[in-house]
Amino acid sequence: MSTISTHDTHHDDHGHHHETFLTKYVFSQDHKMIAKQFLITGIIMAVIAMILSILFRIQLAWPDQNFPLLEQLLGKWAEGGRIKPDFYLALVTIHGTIMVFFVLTAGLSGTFSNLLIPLQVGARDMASPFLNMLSYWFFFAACVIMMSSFFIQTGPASAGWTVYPPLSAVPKAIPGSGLGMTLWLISMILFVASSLMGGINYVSTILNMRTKGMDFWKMPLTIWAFFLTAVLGILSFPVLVAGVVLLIFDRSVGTSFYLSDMVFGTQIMPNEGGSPILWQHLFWFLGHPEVYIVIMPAMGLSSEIIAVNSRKPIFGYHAMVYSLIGITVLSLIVWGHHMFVTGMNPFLGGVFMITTLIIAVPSAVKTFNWLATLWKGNIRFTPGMLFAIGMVSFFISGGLTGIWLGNATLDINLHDTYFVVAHFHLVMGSAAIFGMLAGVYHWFPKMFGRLMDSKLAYLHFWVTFVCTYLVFFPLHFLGLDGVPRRYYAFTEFEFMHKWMTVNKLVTWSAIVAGLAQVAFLFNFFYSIFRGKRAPQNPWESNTLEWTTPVERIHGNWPGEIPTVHRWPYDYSKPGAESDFIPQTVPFSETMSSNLFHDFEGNAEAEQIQREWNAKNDPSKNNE
Amino acid sequence: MILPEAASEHGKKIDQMFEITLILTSIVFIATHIVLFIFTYIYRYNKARKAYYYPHNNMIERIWTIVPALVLTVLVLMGFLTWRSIFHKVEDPNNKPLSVEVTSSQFQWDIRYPGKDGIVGKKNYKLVTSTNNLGIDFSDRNSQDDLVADEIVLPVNKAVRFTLGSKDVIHSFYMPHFRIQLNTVPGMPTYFEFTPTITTDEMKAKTGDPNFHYVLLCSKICGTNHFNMQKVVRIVSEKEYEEWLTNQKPYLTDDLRKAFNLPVPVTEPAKAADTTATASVKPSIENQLALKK
Amino acid sequence: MVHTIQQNNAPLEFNAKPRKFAMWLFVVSSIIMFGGFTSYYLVFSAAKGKGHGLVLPDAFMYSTAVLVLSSVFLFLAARALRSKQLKQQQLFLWITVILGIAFAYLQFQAWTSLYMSGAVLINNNAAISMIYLLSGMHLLHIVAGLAFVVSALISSYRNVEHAKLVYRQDIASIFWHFIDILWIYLYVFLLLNS
Ligand code: HEM
Ligand SMILES: [Cu+2]
Ligand SMILES: [Cu+2]
Repeated sequence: MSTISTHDTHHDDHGHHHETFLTKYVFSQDHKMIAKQFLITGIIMAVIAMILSILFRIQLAWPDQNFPLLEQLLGKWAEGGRIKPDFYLALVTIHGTIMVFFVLTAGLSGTFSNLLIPLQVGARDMASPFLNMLSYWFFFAACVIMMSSFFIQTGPASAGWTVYPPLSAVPKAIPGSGLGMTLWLISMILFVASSLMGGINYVSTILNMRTKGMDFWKMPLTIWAFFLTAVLGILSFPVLVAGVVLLIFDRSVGTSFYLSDMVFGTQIMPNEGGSPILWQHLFWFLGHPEVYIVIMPAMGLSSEIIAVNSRKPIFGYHAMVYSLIGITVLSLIVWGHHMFVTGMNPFLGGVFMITTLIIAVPSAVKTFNWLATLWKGNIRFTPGMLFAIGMVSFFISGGLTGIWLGNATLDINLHDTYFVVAHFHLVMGSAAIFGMLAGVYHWFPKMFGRLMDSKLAYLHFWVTFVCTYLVFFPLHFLGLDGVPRRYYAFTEFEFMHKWMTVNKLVTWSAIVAGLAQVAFLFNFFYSIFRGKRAPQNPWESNTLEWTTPVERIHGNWPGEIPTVHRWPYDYSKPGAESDFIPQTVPFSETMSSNLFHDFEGNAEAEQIQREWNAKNDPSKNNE
Repeated sequence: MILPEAASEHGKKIDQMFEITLILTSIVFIATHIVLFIFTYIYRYNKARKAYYYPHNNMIERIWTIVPALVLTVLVLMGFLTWRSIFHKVEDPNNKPLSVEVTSSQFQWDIRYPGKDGIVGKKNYKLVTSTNNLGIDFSDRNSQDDLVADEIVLPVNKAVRFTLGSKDVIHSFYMPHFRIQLNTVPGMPTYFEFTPTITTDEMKAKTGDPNFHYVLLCSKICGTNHFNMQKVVRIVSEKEYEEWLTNQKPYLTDDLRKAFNLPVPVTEPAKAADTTATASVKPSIENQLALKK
Repeated sequence: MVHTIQQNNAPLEFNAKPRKFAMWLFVVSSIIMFGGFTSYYLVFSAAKGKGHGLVLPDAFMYSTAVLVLSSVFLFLAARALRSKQLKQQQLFLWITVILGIAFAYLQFQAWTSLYMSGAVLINNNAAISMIYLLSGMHLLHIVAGLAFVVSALISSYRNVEHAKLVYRQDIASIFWHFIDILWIYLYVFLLLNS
């Protein structure tokens, strides 16, 4: 049987089909290349979104100061060196959209689902490589269209990333709701198409193309997470399409799905009978699952990285899977918690409060299991591990405030304030970004055959970790004091003046955190070309991807696809020689470490083991 | 504690729950972080050691599923009951709450008090003109004595019921001191009833800030001047309130009377023209004030 | 940069099952999108206490019949393929395509008569706009469905290997039967919620 030693690559030379530069790097159908395309596009979008955020943070920290540089950079959007209110809102909107959809959905899921699903379940490629390629190009087009809205007369969409109508529907309400909003909607439809093509592929691959022996309960948690994320996407993204189509009709055709009873100045609008609340229902029916679409892959990546680097099995593997399933199911029925104060039926509010607080339970279980995995581990502080631990910390900090917000009564006072901003930046922004960075550091050798520099990585980690807390933690207090979000300046209300110094601290921290990313970017691009060459299994990990050769080949394994014999978490198993046993090692080769539990009730195997134990180590039969 | 003091009846209940939640989550926050950092420190890599193979323990896992579930159940129950008590007010016919209507538009709040009859009359957005900027329907008798106000003044310890509406986009009626927030939605009136418990003057003394005043903010992104949509809110004694009320002007001007075919009271024409002039200029002045502030 | 040192000699063998499964997943997501539209409709009409309030044009009835008929012919095509009678398969596929186009034509007829009766798209009753929207979005699916049928037809003429023929035919069948049932659902939905 094949074991880790699939390295005995027998190079057959026939069947060499020709790859041109175009089919290899651009219109590639190889999942590993598509993963890199997603990653690099995601990183570029992240840098753009980060720059946008620093721009609006500068406005918040120094609302009445002029920065001539800004005028040179932004032209009419910052006449006199000061960002204009409309443009401020555009910045916030596009920052949020890019981060949530393009970085943390496409950049995260797109990269790691593409890279790891075939490699970790033992498949040669995705179910439909062609669809996979389309998925990337739709995503790319979505990014280009979104960015193009910075170059039009009326500017990008500026109604917030949730684009509530009527603000987003009536160009008269805000300039960004003109052409910019149309581009936003088109971009979003392309993006959803991309996500669906990706998600459908992931699900089909996982269900149909696992290698021999890879049953569901032998899949690494990464695969479970990607699988459930994709399922959640398939179930919720189409609803956003429905919502967006209706909004497009309202905007461009003149229907009244969401619009009614509006007067701008003294101009009475013709739309009648629609309800803006219905947009919110359709949006959040996607929107809430979306936040879990963002965090679940990060959870999966962190679980894997934490287990590998603690040299311990993940604690409570089954509970980890069930909690992911629980989150997937529950996240479809909690969307109303974003709408507690829209004036919807108070009884419904109560129902959504109950479902929302239930979803905190599986989240808590996951956290405790991560902590238990660390307990009595032998922790290797690889860069990936540091970021995974950081992810756990942020997930706790942000998740706990979810309990406040999920309580409809407390939400009355907290909704749409900086408290919510703090909540979701910690739990979604920071935790998911840290999960993603952990993944990048951990699987970089798999993607590029080289290692990233760990000194720079430590610098990157510590500065980012500290500054992220400095940026987001103080925002809780602003929110509690009643400062609403999406405010252009804190100058107009007297009670906000006391927050100006805090705002400066936050902005400086954001700038430093931004600079820290230079260390990452340099490390990333430098290591692609000049990094230390990686061994085949640099982290001594059990999962299948590390049984493939370091060099990229189409089809992943040169010979047969290896067979899987055990779960992926046999780390530091008592009785085993090394502290990891890859999934491809059959039990017959590890007689000294097998537990009866491993055989899942297979009586024959248990008998063989019992006989072996009797001969070699009788004490083990007593267990 | 870290919230500004609650100045309404239901606000006190919210704050109680807030404190319980704060304490519980802080304990969890601190405990888990201590564990996280201590574990990573104690169990850092050591060549000589081997990690402990410990794949699961159903008992422990059950405990940390059930305990959070129980705690959350308690929080949900408290939240649910308080939530109901805030939004399900039983109407007491003898002690009707004071009715006030607030209409949001880009970027201002318009306040309408009910006048003698205690009822705020109908309105219809299709009636909006430059003189009737709320689209009040004066053929409804209840509208005819409605008063215009440029600030929200409320008597202390008396229930108020706000009827909220919006002319253009969604805004949000947010008064943090009273723990009130509710969206104003075009085409769908929303309601919030509450009882203020501390007057502005008392609050000045409590906070030691002579400039203290309650604020009304807009908390739903609504466009360019979203960050500056304010209205002063004053909580006063019953007596001061009555006094203030007598100084408020009716919405119904002579021009509007003509437009609605209502009898115009006989006064010298010159004077009538005068009042309409100020009335129609008024909104724009208010607007500028709001912008400057 | 790492570079390919060798190609796997076994070409990634053609495996129809995961791809067909992907088609099923697409069907699921499509159902959910229409679920989004119809739940908009339900919530809207519950809130307003009214639906579209129209007698739907007869053209919808004819188009439904045509679509069901096209499904029957597609089914026959699949059966012909299974008994390897390509000529017959091609004939039935052609009929399916023609019926599909006839369906589209009838939908336009239905819109015209709606328009004539005053129930226009830009309407203060969003439920009426929704009739256009549902049938319009469905028509987009018909276009996609025709593309699948045509692809099966082309490969039948090109005489590609049997496994691929069956695969293309299956994909076309899954999708076309789905949009057939979808239309019946939408039609009944609109009839019931007037
Ligand atoms: C522990 C479980 C969680 C609970 C109970 C919870 C609860 C809530 C609630 C009630 C809100 C609405 C607050 C408001 O607008 O007033 C909210 C907002 C939000 N949550 Fe969570 N949350 C949880 C975990 C998460 C996770 C894991 C993520 C993402 C990874 C997330 C991302 C967000 C985002 C993005 C928003 C704000 C959306 C916006 O208005 O722009 N939350 N959360
Ligand atoms: Cu949510
Ligand atoms: Cu606003």
